[in-house]
Amino acid sequence: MQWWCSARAVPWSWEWRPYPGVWLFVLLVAALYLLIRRRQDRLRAEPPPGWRRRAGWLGLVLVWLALDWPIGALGAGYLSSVHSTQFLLLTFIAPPLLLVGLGPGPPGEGRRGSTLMGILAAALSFNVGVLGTHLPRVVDALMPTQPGMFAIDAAWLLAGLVFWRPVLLTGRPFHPMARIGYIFWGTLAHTGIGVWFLLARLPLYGVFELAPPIPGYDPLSDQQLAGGIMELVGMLIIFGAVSLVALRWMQQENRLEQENRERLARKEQLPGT
Amino acid sequence: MTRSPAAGCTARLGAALAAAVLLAGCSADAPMPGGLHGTVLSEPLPRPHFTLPDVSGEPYDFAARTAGKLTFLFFGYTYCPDVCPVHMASLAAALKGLSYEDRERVEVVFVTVDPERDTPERLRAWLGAFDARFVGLRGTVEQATAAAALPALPPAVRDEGSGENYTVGHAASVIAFSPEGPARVLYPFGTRREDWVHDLPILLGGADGPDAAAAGAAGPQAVAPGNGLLVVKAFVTRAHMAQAAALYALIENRTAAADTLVEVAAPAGRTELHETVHEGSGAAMRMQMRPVTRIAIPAGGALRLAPGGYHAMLIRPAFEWQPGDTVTTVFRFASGTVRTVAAPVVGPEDVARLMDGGGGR
Repeated sequence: MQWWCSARAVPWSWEWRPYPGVWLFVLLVAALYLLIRRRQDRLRAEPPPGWRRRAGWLGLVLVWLALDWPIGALGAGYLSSVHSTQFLLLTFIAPPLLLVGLGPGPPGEGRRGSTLMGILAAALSFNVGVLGTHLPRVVDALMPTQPGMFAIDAAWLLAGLVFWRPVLLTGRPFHPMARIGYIFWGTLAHTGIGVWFLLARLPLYGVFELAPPIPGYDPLSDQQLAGGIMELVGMLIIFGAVSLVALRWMQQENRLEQENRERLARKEQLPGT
Repeated sequence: MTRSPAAGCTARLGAALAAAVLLAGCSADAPMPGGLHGTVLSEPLPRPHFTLPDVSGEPYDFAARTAGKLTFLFFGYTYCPDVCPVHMASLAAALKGLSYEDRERVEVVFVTVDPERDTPERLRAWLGAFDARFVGLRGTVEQATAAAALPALPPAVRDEGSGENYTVGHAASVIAFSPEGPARVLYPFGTRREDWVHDLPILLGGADGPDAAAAGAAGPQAVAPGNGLLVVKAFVTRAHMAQAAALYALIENRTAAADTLVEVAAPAGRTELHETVHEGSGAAMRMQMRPVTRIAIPAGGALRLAPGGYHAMLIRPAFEWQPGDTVTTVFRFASGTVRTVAAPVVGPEDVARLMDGGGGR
């Protein structure tokens, strides 16, 4: 029995397989999540709204779905397209949901993460992590082993949390324009890899090319599908995040303007002015 | 599973799947002599003469029908879960990149080693899914074995233990016969599409030409097809904690000259030949494994790689092999002979029984 999904190169079967390492890992992430959330809650005056809680739990469920059978097993050794779906789940979808679940954090919380250097380091480490875990030499060397595959999966989740933290979890002002720029610059590697998958004329990864084939899937077409998924879904998430930041910025500006107007109106109504 | 074995020293070992990386103990990133990514033979292998029925039932004279063409010959079966479909898909995809004129100069011949299940209709449909021009040949098992023996390939062995859905151990290499006649290059499992794309123009007589490419192959890295050395059976034990697996085999030397096993290559970080030695005596006696570099095989004799004696250790296997998988393994001999076999993975408790009985590959 395997404890983690990895490329085994036995023909794919829809017969369920247990991966106890995945369950333990998800439990560990859940425990850490609850621990941090309780600590955050103690520092807050009011509990965060229910939708934040639900988002956090959804993030945990998505981590589990990305790692366990069948997505984990298919992505680990058979289909590049499923592997890229795993990547998106673990870096672009689950981490922001988990961070949303933790709430915005009390003022001052996450200050270290919101300094310029911290933000630059987060964007850089995310790009380096994403790039490194997509290099054919690295992928072909790590994916056939369980510890190697675990390292890739854990790196993705960690990189996702590091990347999204400055956007979602800072209690300190982080100018919306900077946030938008951070999201675009921070996801450059992801965008480049998606384009690379789409344009490559040969399969890039031996682990998928030499895997026992799944009828109907050609390694090159599957790789292009993976590129399409990364670009389409990734861009949807990136533009969604940017739109949200822009929307909140606009609301904030409107609120400030409204407050200024009210202040002026109050001044004009004061007798003797 | 059969994950890239061995004999193919591709020039891009580092970038290939870990299994492919470890083929045949080739030095990493070292291109094969002559610039080909396949395994270049030091002595050309004559184009064999055999005739088998094609999928229409018509006799297909291999030597006559493929004369003057770059011909890829492969022995496999359509129910093969990995080696056969991967080879055929990679080759078909690479051939699509050729011009019409060049494509017309290429023939791909697939001989089934499992005629019982590979009906003509199934063989035609299966090959057609890759390329409608691939030629399928289907004779009896004996005919297929005889045809495979001509280019010195080992006979296919049916794994009787797996019931209706049995697997067949068979040679995992595609043999490339140049348009001039003989074969100078082999393509083992682990050959990637980029390797085919790289080699096809050379094989078709492009810039360097196949003979020019092969001419540069006469160096010490080149291998020879050899005759009369037979890997009768081979087994790999389940990988222990992903750290090591043992390879056991029975090799018969049916020639009049002694030979020496100099290397075993398999998809693992390192492969070593070992000898088990007993040190001390009585209760203090203990067994130790000692690496050896060569193991002699007498003329007309046999070499038994078995527990308690000589064996090979596959250190840091590329995959966590489980019973039911197969590991493509390459045996290299001092004479230049290379033998590629798909060794089934078995539990350590089954090794003694299997070594003494039948089965294996």
